[in-house]
Amino acid sequence: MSEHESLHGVTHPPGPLAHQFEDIEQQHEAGELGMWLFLATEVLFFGGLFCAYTLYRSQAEEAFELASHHLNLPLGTFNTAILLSSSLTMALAVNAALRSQQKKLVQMLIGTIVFGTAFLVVKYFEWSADYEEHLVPLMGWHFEWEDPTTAPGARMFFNLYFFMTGLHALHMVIGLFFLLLYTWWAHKGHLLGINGQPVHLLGLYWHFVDIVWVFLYPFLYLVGTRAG
Amino acid sequence: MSGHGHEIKPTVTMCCWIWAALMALLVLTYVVGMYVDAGAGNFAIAFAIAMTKATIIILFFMHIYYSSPLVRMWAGSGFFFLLILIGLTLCDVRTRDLHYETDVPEYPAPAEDAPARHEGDPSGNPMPAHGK
Amino acid sequence: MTAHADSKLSYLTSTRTISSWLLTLDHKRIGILYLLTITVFFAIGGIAASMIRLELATPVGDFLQSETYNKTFTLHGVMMIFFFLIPSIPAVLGNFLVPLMIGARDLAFPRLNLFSWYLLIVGASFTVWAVLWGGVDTGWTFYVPYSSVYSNTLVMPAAMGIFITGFSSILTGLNFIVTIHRMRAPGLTWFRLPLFIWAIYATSLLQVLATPVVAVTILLVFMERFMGFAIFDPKNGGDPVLFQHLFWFYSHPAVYIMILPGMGVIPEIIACFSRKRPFGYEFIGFSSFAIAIYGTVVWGHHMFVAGQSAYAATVFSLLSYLVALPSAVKVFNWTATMHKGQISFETPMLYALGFIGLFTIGGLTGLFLGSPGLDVHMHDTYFVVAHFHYVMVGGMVMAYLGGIHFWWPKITGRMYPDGWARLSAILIFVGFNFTFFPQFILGYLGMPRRYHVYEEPFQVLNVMSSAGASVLALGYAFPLTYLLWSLKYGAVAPANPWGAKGLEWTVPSPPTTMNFDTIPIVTEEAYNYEESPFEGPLAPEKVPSHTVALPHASH
Repeated sequence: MSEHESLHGVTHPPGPLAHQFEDIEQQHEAGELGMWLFLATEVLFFGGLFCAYTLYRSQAEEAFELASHHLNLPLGTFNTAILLSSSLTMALAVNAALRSQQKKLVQMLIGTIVFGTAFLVVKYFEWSADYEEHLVPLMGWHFEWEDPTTAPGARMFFNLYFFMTGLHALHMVIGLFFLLLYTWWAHKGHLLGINGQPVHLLGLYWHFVDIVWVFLYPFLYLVGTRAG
Repeated sequence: MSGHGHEIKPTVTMCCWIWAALMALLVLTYVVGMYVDAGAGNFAIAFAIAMTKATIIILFFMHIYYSSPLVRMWAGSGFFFLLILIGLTLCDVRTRDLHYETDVPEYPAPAEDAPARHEGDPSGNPMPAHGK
Repeated sequence: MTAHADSKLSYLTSTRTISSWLLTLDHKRIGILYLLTITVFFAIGGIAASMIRLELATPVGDFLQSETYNKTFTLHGVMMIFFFLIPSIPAVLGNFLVPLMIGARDLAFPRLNLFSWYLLIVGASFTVWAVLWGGVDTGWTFYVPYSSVYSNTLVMPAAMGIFITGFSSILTGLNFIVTIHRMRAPGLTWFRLPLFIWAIYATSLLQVLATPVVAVTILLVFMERFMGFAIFDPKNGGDPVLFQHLFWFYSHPAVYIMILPGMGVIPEIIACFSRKRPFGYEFIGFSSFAIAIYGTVVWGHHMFVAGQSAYAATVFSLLSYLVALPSAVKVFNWTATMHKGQISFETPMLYALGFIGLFTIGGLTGLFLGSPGLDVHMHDTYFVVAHFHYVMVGGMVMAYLGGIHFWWPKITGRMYPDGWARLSAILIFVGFNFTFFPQFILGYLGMPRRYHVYEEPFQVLNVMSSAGASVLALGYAFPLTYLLWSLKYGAVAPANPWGAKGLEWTVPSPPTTMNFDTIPIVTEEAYNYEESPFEGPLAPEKVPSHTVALPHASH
């Protein structure tokens, strides 16, 4: 058994064939299926929150609409565009890795990191603005809402908003950590060609986090309509 | 990776076209959300567009278009289970206000001189009147 | 990993340092680590159960105060469900046997496997901390808003412990699914797999897809207490029934996570000790999947009296009746396997027979509870308690013990003392029935659960139940003793002491670290007892891998 299967393998880039596999193709197929299974668990993890959201929205439709209109739609849309662009750079990074284009791989990974970080920065500004407007019903902070009849529903909306976007942001931070690690490894000349599969797997994770946002955006920012 | 083909799919060009499509759909969502009042249709449109975006990302960026049936099955499994969770929960929540149109019998109040329930009656409230 | 393991030495003795065990990547050693840890958890849960039964021997609250009693039954439930039953067969027997049964050298992700065990340890540490610092009194079900707002006990660390342990379960299931799909030996098609593998796969499906929902739900409760996220607080428009939907969406499939592996062990034992291929092999295999899928749409039957709509209650009730069908298919097929077989009553067979009877009783009583009209009277009574103990203890724990006894020679290379083992099996069966059958009657008569006091007339049955519990405790103490004894003094076991079919019986007892010298090629149908009832499988062709371009099974 080579030392690659030791726990120290966590800090080294993934190398050749692990001892439990017969050939590299089996290893790749196992990794791909494993990552999709992990993403299936993430669908259910976020899904529980979407279920809570669906239930509460069906009970307080009007309050949810009013609360949603307090969110900054242009900023949220811009943020969505940033995240979708990060998916593009990620897909291009995977493409470059599998074609052994090291320079392009590093560039695209850095691009993804830049977009991802920009997304989080915008979210920070959004959350700060909500805090200034007293719309954060956490930690015992004062929650200000003009209409007492829709106040419980609005409170519930903002609870869900902060929990869901917070959990999403946490997943992005984890993704950014791995992106940084992979950028470093790519810079060192690893993750190319047949060893590029980890980039593909990270790409699957990153695209998934993007998809969660693709659903969060209309559910949170586009309740009802802002026309009229 | 499935296939040892010479060209890595999706190609760079395809990725850019997909990005363009995603951007276009995003603009569409924004415009509908800002300027169109279709009542309940607003949610339907926004959800449909989100599903389209997600489908494009899953099919191409996440490679499902080129993957084996097994991977496709597991990719869809999460959504299938989520559908069950949300569907049956809604089945409860949306029907809470329904009332059955049946005759519910009126149980008569106990007669005034009926003996009060006492300890030792196993079919009654088993909690004793005393005790911690 | 430390020194290069000599491929001729057994996995138990090839390296002997503590770190070679605590940092092992060998699925067999990880299985042993799980075996040791969940035995400790079972003991803790068992002590809590003893305290419950001691208190309930008298109608008044004289042994425990009411708050302490609440903490005790919470501890019992949390320990037994999350830390014993859910890991049990998958983490111990599954980890050990899955690669051996499919002709692989290890699971697909060995490091993830070790990480899963550490997650269990960390999660348990949080929960034990919560217990030692004052306990939790919400019940293992953590219903809101009591757990999220009003309880003054240590809900947060207990919740965090369960949250972390949930990921142990998820990652184990993930590992098994990828392994079973991608690492089967050449020639090992789906219909040549042992039924244990089918059951483990179905269990893993539920572990992967259902556990995340309870994880996020527990996280919500945690955050509600920690940061004031008022998701479930009715004062802010929250809906406690939403918590119950989210909780039971996992916790009902959780009971199938608990029982399906047992239903995978039983046909292995019955086929071996009836010397017959399981009757309706395909039906038994598919029924595992049917139970898994059906089991995900029935959770509302825990909420008939919780405030869910009558319409939803009807839907859930109907679906719950359907889930009995694949279970019945299994029971009939197991029984038909024994028909005209050459039956011998080895210890695993005693446990398997006990399982069939007790699981059937438990399952049938579930049908009573599945009818909303009856459930109104029986919900939260001892009828429910008896029902789930029949399936969980009379079913699952007996299947676990049967599996441990069946594969003990393979795992340890030693035979246990047969007389003591059979006596223990019978003692457990008798003690179990004396403990839990009276509880059906108590529940029917209206004794509520989770109360530390009760009406005088209930005492006779309660005393019977407590007396039975002491017999049951004795019955559990015996295997602990003689199995430990056998490690040093038991007879050395041959590779196949039972003459059973299956790839795991073709390797030495205990196996070497690499499992197989060369990956076997399977040509024989599963359970080929008809041709040679008392011998192991036909020697699979041993062709060195890498020299033959045979594709590995990849679906």
